[in-house]
Amino acid sequence: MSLLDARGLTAGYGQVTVLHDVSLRIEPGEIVVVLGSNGAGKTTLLRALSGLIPARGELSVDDVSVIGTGTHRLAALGMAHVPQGRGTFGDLTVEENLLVGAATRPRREARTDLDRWYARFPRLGERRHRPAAGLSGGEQQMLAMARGFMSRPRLVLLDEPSLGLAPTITTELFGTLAELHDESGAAMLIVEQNAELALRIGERALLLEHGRIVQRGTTDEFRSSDDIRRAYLGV
Amino acid sequence: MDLLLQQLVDGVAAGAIYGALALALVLVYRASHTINFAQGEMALLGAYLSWQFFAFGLPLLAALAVSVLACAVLGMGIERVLIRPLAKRNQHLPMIITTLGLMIALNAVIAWVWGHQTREVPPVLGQGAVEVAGAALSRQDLVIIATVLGGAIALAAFFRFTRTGLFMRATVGDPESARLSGVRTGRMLSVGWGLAGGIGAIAGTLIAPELFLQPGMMAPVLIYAFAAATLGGLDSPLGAIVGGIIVGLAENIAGTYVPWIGSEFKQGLALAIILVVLLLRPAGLFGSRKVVRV
Amino acid sequence: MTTQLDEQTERADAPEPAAPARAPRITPVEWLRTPRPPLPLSKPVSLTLGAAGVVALAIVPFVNPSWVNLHVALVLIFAIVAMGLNLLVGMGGQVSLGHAAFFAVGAYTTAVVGAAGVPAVATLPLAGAVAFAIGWLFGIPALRLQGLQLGLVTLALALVTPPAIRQLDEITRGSRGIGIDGDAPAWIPLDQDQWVTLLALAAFVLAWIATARFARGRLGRSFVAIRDAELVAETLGVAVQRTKVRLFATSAAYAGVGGGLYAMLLEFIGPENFGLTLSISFITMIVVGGIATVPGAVLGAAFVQAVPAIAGEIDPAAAGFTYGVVLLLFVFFVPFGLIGVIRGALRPLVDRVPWLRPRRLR
Repeated sequence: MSLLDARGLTAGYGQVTVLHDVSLRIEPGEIVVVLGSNGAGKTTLLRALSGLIPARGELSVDDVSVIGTGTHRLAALGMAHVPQGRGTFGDLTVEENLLVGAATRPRREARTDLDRWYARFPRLGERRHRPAAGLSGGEQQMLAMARGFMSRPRLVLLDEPSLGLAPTITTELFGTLAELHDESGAAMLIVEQNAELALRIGERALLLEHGRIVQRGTTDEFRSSDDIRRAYLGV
Repeated sequence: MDLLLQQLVDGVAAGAIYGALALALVLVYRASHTINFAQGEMALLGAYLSWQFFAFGLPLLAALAVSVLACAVLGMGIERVLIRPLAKRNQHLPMIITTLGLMIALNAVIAWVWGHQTREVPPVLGQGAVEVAGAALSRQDLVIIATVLGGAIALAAFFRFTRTGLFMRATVGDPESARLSGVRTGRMLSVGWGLAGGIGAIAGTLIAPELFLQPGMMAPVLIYAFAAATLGGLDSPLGAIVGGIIVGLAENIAGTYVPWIGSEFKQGLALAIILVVLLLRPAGLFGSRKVVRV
Repeated sequence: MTTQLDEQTERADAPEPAAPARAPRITPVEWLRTPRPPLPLSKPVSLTLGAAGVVALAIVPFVNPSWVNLHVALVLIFAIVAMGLNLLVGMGGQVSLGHAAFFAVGAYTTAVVGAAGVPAVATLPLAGAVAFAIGWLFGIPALRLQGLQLGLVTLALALVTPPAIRQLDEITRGSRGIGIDGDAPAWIPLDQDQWVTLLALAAFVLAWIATARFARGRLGRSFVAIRDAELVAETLGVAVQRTKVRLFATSAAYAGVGGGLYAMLLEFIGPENFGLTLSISFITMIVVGGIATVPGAVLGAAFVQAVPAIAGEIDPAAAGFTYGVVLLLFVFFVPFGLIGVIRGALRPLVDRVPWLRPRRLR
């Protein structure tokens, strides 16, 4: 039973179709990396998967069809989506951001999870009562990830987590992601420009071009493919 | 001196009502990024419903409760049926026209049902005045001030300490992220409109004993509420209350001490306040910058 | 960029792109919600239609009792105001909920100057000019605002108009109201209602021509550019702020002339003539008629004149209710107004009768 199964997904904005007939499966606990140039439809794919834009085709979670289901219901089914640009609530405090992340869970559980995240990211703990808008880019990304994990998701969609971060912070970020994966066992679908780091923690990869999946394989295959290396690994 | 004091006291009482109605406007603005031009008429409906149920024999407070509930449901219904389809498509002009249409239709329905003669809504604590440092404060004014302040504090606590309040703020801040976190954003918008409807009903019922309940009662109040909401910052609940009190004070003092303004043209002052604020400080006293870009 | 915008707005008689294979069946609601280009009538045909309409209207005052003339004149007057509002909303993309204020300015200009002995008809240009000037003054601060805020400010203006008239009672005679002599000059053998109806018709035709020239001229194109992309227009050298203010003032001038005629028609006006309901009926006209078209303005004006009058027979409140419900219905179900419906209904006819179309489209 696949955790997420999309078949023939087609989506876009208004009259413009961006994503054409995309099929992919995600098994529980695996990390799948999506590569592709700007405008290839990576963000659109994630937005279609989490119901932010209407899509045609088939989409199921645990073999139950969820096409056309509201985004908030998908969240309740165990999907978390850390959007591009992080989507933190600037006016809300760090703690409030995290509590919103736990919207689908009972209040008491949310409270106990808070402490775990403060232990993992002490910077967030120090600033728990400050508005999120005052955090640095790296801290914002930590907060966004922590917020995503507050719902104890089974699948986390991450859209360009390293965008705008310094290289050292990016390395740290992927280290954290790998740890979070080991601890929580959540599956991840990562869209990332920094292909090298992403491929290192992932198991499978997809290449998206012009809204279609043009190549699939293990991350090792991707890393040894000359075409991929030239186009996305900057070698 | 006593006259000035009296004006100050009256101004605060009037301002509390403007603030309450402005608060309703702000809640709607935060939910749907539009101005509900029908907010005044919804408050008027609230006043009439209170009067009607009181006339049926309910105690005044029970009548008010029924009216608040009815107006809250009306607000939620309007959001769900009329506003949300337009908000989804980001259509500002149609939204303006829609609430304008509601304003005039609601007013007509009220005039149709209850006619044009004035109705008397009794004051909550009876007639009479209380002496405050040489100024006379009617009992009803006292009730108004206490209710609005108490209500504002309760609302602030609701936003600050409850989950629904937190989710509402999250929905205002970034609807998409809120949805991704599992917040039922549509329901939050409805709750915002519902709260606005209920608050309006309270404001309408409380002001009715002082203004005479008739179909034209809320139009002048609405324009002050516009001024108050603009002054406070369209998306700031605190600003709405503060703005309301400032507008109430300005209205009373200018009406008394600036002969040219007199009692007839006090509404012109509201227009002037709106214009000046929007030009000099579009975000108002407490509003966020975002308002400016709309 | 500008040329692209021009093409979009001036494609009045361009051929439609080959009709895409339509979905087999569309619901009536979808049909109503379909945007439609103007009918591709040839110039002689549309000119003939227009001229026939004007001639018919010019005959009206001579064959009808005065109460009919009253209605016809009101429709023409409101249509003038609607054309002005259309300029603002349709071309400028800005809303004014307060045009009753400028209508009042025009009406009182005619009344006050007329009372000083100037023949009423001579005050009409002045009514337009004063409304233009006040629109300009109001526009300078107000037009730094956009969309919602402008709606708020202009609605406040509408609410303030009757108290302002009462406050200025040294000029306006406040609540007592003011009389106007709307009679034709002695050497013209016409009754007052005939005279004012013809004047309104003349003003309407002038406004029509002015609007058409305006829309095609340089100024009109700058307006459209601002509506569609303010920032781009600015970089292209359109003085955005001044253009907006000028547009607003022009629109106010239409309302002013309409107000002057209105005063001449009624011969007695007071503050309650210019309340919020009037402003809302102006908005209703353009919503019902269809935004930014001249025939739409006429249809909207006729609607606003006829329907509440009929509804008002049932109950005075029914008129307001009708306005409100009609606004809601049109926003949701007929977003392109009656003109959209007419275009949709007549399109098959025009498609079938070749001589109606310009030669290159036959």
